[in-house]
Amino acid sequence: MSKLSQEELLTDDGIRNDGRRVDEARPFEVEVGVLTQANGSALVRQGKNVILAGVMGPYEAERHSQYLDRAVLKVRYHMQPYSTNDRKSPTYSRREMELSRAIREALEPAVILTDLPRTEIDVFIEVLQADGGTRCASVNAASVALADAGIPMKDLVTAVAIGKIRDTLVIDINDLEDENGQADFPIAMMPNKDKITLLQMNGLLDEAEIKKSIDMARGVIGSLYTIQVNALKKKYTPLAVSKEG
Amino acid sequence: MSEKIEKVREVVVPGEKLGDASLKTAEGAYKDNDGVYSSLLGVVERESDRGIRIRALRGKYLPRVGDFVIGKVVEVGLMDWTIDINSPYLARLDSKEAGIEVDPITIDLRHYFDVGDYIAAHVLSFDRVTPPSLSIRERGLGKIHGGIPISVIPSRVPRIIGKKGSMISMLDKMLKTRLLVGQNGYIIIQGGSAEDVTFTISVLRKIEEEAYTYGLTDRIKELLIKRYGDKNV
Repeated sequence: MSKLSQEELLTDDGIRNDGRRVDEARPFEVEVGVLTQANGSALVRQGKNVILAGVMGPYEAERHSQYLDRAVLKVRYHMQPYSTNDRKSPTYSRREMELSRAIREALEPAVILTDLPRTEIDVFIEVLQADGGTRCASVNAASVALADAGIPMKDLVTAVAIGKIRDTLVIDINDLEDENGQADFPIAMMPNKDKITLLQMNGLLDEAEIKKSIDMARGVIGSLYTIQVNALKKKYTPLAVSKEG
Repeated sequence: MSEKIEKVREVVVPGEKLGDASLKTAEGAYKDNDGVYSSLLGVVERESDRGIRIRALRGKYLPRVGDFVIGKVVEVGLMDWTIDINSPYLARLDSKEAGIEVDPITIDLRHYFDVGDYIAAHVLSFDRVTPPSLSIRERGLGKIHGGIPISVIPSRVPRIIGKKGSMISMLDKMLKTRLLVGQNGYIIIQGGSAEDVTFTISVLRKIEEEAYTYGLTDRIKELLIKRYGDKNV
């Protein structure tokens, strides 16, 4: 696809290529417990992204990979060949390895690994459809799936990517904005702790813009977090409601 | 008094604030600088005398010393058995704890319990560093002969047993099958016709599914009376 100009990405009226305003996040939906064999699972739609996360474990880790004082968290991020415009090779790529690690490191501070020594917890993330910001959507899916698996956690983790187009900061960028914009700045946080667990940047932002981006992200993460919590509660509250008096 | 009242237990997710830092905490809750937070997806119990605690809605069994568990033999060693107890950790049953003097040259432990056998046992020790060890040195423990195994979510077993055993004693009295309920979520159903077993499973599934609802014992009682009449109540 030919390169889009900054004006095509953001009009003078402040409208982005998909009709959103600069401070508008994409529609976000979470479905909990979509798989029955996995110990925990979640399906997340963030804009056109469709991401499935399944958790296996905790189970006793292989002797050579276990730690005596804590659990091992493993994350595998994988994109389906049909998830992008051009067919993506189904083999595990370098980029996927890198993202798996970034996502793992975003989740690790939230999981109370010391509660489950010698065990392993596996998170499998399948990107069924990709439209920019898949690492953030994956973090959102994985943290809900971990909670669904009954894994002890300090907090959920919620993520969003801030971008820069036409020297303006925009929230929750899609694929076009990611490829043609001036910056991509994914941020993951533990919302109740107000702690950042993932911070990457591709492009250029100055100090003031970074500070502003984090503040913008904090706001969006708050509303995405509410959707995550509601999805978990919606799934499990019926179990706690009495049918009769 | 047929007024419908909807009572809802409080479901919390990890990271949710439960109160200020002065509260006592038990399982599923942790203290941070400014308050007490949940660490599990579960139902809050605020009245517990050990402090605020979360009953997990999902997750595996974590062994506790003294628990009665039902395990499945997965491996037979020279001096011990490896047992699956529905936990992240495989348990170990030493031949000594089975009351057998072992000379590995002359005795094959397969004669006692083979792979696939179910056993009833107590948790002898568990410190998370070494595998949990089991003991069958008490009456009523040991190999389980026959029966149909099912597994339920471990955190819902207390509901199948009920307060001071109220639920399980009612089930024992009224069902035509016998139940062996392990704290780890493995249950063995013995005796009864095929229909009785199917009915028993449906009752257990209902208790599992509605574990956190109010008035469950009464609803189960109704169900049992409907099926078998009330002569055993």
